[in-house]
Amino acid sequence: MKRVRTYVFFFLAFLLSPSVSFSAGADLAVNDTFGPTRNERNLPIADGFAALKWGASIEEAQRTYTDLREYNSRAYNQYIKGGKDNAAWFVREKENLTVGGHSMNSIEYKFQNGKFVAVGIGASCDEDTPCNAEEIYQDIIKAIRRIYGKPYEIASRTYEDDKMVSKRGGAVKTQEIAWKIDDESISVSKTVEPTFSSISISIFSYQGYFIAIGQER
Amino acid sequence: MKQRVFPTVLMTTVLMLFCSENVHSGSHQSLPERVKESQAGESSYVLSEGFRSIKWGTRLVDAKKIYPDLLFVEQIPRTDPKYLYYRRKNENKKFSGLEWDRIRYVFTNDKVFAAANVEMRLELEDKDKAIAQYNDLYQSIAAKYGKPFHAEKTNKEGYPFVYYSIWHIGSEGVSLELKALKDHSIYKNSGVETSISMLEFNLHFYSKKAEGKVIDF
Repeated sequence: MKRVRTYVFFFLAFLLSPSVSFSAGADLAVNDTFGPTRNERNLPIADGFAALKWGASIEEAQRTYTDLREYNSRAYNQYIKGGKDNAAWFVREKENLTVGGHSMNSIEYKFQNGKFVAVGIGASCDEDTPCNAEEIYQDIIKAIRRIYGKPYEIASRTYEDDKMVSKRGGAVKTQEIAWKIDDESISVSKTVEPTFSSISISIFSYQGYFIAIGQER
Repeated sequence: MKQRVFPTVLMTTVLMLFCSENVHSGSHQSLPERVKESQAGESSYVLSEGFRSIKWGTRLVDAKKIYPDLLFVEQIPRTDPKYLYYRRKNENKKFSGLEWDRIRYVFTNDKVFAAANVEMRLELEDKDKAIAQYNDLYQSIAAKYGKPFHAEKTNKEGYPFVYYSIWHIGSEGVSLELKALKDHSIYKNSGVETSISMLEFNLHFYSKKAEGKVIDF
């Protein structure tokens, strides 16, 4: 009977273990944006990003993240803030910047008409901050593929004409891969120039957008 | 012997209990859809009736009574729209034996149901699978409706650039398309070289009558 109880215990423990259904992403940290675990602090993309639900107001978002502050710079205030989208970008002071197993430079939250609609994540490599853009790009793609499968779009641009080569000191290559998951889309892009490379991730939610523009669906 | 058999039986019972709960909840949810689909979907699909449970010519307000989870996706063209695209939140994406990425319901600008679009994207490594799927669906449609009104297969660089067939059946029609998406570009002094990035596989049903293009006397 003791042996039976042991069997049942291990069997239930196996079923309840979060690693059972997400074993493919086991090498990513639990709180990684595209990591293995989904919970109220790491929502499925259909619901939101991190702990913020699509369409949440700035006030709601700031109640969830008390360290959420509007981006503030002369360029932002002059060129980005407002516009026809009535957009505002926010950042967290104590952000977890790990995405796909790599530490990114920034995670920015976009609000349109005061509602949460998109996320921008970026990292860059240059002489001062050396990193392997290709490795970061591939790891992020791998992490997203584990969750969402095949992409919706794959694209690349290689500029090797004289004009671009003389302007940038060599060829410029960009690669982009995008997923569409019902109302949400994730796009990962990489730009490689001779002395600079960058990775950017854009997450956009139509769910949040329709709430932001006040349109019934 | 008895000692070995008992834990196995118990484990099996526990497993069956877990599984049976899922099976029951699954069958309760999907049964009405299955019944409807056997009337207006899959093998007994009748093109002249409509798509799944919505008949051609149904007004959006009535379609939402049939599918309360119908959600607006986009309007085409964006400015001065002619068609409004909707999707179901809880769509069964299996159709004609294939698991599709997107199933969309197309309404005219007057909000009348006139077309349905079933789509999947495939990566280049799945080219053979895509061609096999195209050929299988072509055979099924041809077996039901005869030779297509128009059919073409255009190959380029060894890839299926466009496989396209269209059938006109009274005031309704069905088209089948497999096409290569060319999203890789190299900008050189001599011009732009493009190559294939992914494959798009599309099944499109439409009713000219519902769209008002055919006047019934």
